[in-house]
Amino acid sequence: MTQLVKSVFSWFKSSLRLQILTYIGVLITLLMIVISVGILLQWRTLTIQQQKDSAKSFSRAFSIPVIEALINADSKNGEVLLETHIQSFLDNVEGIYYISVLDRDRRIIAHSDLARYGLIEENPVYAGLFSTSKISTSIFQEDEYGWVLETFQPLQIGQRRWGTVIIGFNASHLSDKIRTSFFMMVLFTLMAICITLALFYFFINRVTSSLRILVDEVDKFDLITGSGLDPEPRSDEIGVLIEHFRMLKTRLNESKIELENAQRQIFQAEKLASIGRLASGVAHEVNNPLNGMRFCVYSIQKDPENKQQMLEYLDLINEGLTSIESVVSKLLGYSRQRPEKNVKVDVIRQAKVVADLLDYRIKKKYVNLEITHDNDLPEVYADPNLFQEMLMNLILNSLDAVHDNGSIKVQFSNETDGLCVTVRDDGSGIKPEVIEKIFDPFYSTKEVGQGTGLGLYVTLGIVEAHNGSISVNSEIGKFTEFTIIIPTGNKNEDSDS
Amino acid sequence: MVQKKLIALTFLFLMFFSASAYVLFIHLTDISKPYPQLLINEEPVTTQLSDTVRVGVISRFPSNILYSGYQPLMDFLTNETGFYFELVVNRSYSETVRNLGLGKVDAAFLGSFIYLTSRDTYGLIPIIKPLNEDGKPFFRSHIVVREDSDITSIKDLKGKRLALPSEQSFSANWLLAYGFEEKNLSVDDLELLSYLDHHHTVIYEVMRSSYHAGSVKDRVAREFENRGIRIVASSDPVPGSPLVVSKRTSDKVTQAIKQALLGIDINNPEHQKMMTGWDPEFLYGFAEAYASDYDSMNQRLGGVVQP
Repeated sequence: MTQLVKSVFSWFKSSLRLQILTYIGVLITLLMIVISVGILLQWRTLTIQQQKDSAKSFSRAFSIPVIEALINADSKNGEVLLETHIQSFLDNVEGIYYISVLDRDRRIIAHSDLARYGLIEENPVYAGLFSTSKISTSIFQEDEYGWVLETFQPLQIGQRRWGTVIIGFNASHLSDKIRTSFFMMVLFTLMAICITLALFYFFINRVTSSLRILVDEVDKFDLITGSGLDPEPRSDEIGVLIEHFRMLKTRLNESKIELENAQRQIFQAEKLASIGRLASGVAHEVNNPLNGMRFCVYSIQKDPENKQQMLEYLDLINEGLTSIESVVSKLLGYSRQRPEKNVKVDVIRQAKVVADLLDYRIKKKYVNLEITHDNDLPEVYADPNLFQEMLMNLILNSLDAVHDNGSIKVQFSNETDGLCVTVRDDGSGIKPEVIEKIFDPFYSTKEVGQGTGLGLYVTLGIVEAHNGSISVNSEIGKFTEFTIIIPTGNKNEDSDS
Repeated sequence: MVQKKLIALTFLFLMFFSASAYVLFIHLTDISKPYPQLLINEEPVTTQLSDTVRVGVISRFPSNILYSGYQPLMDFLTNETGFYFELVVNRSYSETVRNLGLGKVDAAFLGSFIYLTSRDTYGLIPIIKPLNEDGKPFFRSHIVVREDSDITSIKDLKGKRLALPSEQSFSANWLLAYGFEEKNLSVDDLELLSYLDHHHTVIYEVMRSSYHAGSVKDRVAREFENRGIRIVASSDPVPGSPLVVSKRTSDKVTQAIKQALLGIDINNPEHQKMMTGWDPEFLYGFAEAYASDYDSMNQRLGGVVQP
């Protein structure tokens, strides 16, 4: 039984339309039943009361001449008059079964059934009534007549009592009328319930079908292109809902544009920040060859005749210029405005470029940067510059985290979902309570001026832009490991080489 | 599977509703209502016959009207005095007086005129008389006609049909002995003169145009005034119709009646409520009556009322 209830409940919960129909249906049904039963009961009470009042009126009308006859006449003449009244009443009033006139001693002094003359009325149902002055009624069923409405009318003025009149009226039609009304009420109630539920079913279907159309339209809405969600305009509440969805779509598109602009600015800001951090290394890379070149130029100027020395120093100057050119070239390559691309990326090469860019900082802290990879790396289609920036940010973070002589390992591997990039360092680690915040914009644990708090946020943006995922695993004082999964993208351009 | 179970549940639900409908049907069609049980506070009918005081009343009104108006007064006296008062309605004025004289009744509501004519014969003693709406112990008789009648005074009765109540009523004798005399009319000037059973009968016959005019007592004329009846002449006020006892009546009963009726305060709301339904002649309370109150009336009616 419990299983049955559970399965029905589960089925019931699966449809909002079914729930609304059931709840409203049950409510309407109960309401109509309660109203119908209430009306029927009230009508029944009124009908019975009306019949009682009518019987009382007839009884009172009959008792007036009877009292007068009893007052005026002696017993003999009085009984003659009573029979006249009884017969007249029976002839003129329909639906009277019997009339009985009793004296004060409960002896029947007149009756529509002559056989009952002189009998003493000892029916116990009247026991409590002979001492009352008010008219009473009773309805009962008996074999001879069926339903009988009986009035018990004291023949009394003030406290003076002459006797009692008991009149039995036909009440079978009352029972028949109530029975007929019951069936009519049941029929009308069922019809009303059916019609109401059918109408309700029709309207709820209209509403839900409209909602389904709206849902289909919402499903068509493309977040990237901003197209879709253009159902037919309507003037009802569904139309209002559609209009609000349209406004939402507009706001979504505007937000998307604003977000892209903000991201672009953030990328640029982070890049500038990265450049700043690169600046010391760049200065060193450029300054060393420049010092050597200055020394060479000074030596050549001092001894211009020494051609062997000049050739030797010119080679050195050339080597220095090449070195500077290389540094500047790398810097320019990083800082230029990058076009959006989706090309096959040589991830190992990109990693080495980043390593070269960070070479000075790596060496300064005597960090051991190790780049490893599987032999069967999947093809990855992405923006090479963004890929560089992603690695740059992660390695810079690791460089900040590791101590002197620390270790940073960058590993590329082939996973089921695509390319897996792991950047692991043996630095200070991340506290568990802040690990959920590290991808938030402007969140930084570094000292003021040391970091923008945008590195990991930008990295997350780049990963998501390539439909990838990024996760972090860390233990305080031991290690931090970022794992990036970049799915194999669609090939639409040539490689970045 | 779920749908089959749902059908089973629906079936059970319908069975429940059917059973409920059946129970409702049985309840609705069973219209039996037994007689109510005797109410505890219901005032029981007094049936005690010991210490019964029988009070007669002249047949000035139809019996049912007399009982309607006088029986509540009997009930009041029963409740107040400890005696059981029984109303005895007689067929005629004279029967009532005779019964009182013979001791068949202990007291009687008589008319002023019949009291005058029979007080010496039967040794009748007036003890109580009703007050009118002005709080005075007097009443009048009135000549009434239909509202559309051209009769405007007693003088216009010449050549008309006149209905009177009992020959022993003040309303009849005042008109013949005093009203006619004042206007120089006599019975012979009338087309027809009839004595009817009751004051009410006079009114109904005038309304039916069987008679052009009638003479009735104050209480009846006021009851039908503006309901098709117009008053064209009135008698001088005379002492109200007395409640009379005979010499046979015990002082205890007499004093009990006087004490009870004189104790009625018509300004007391409880008494007002109690008096609802009493004959209109008794609605303004009672005053003690003395034989001398009626002497002046005797003189005014002159030889007509002399036995």
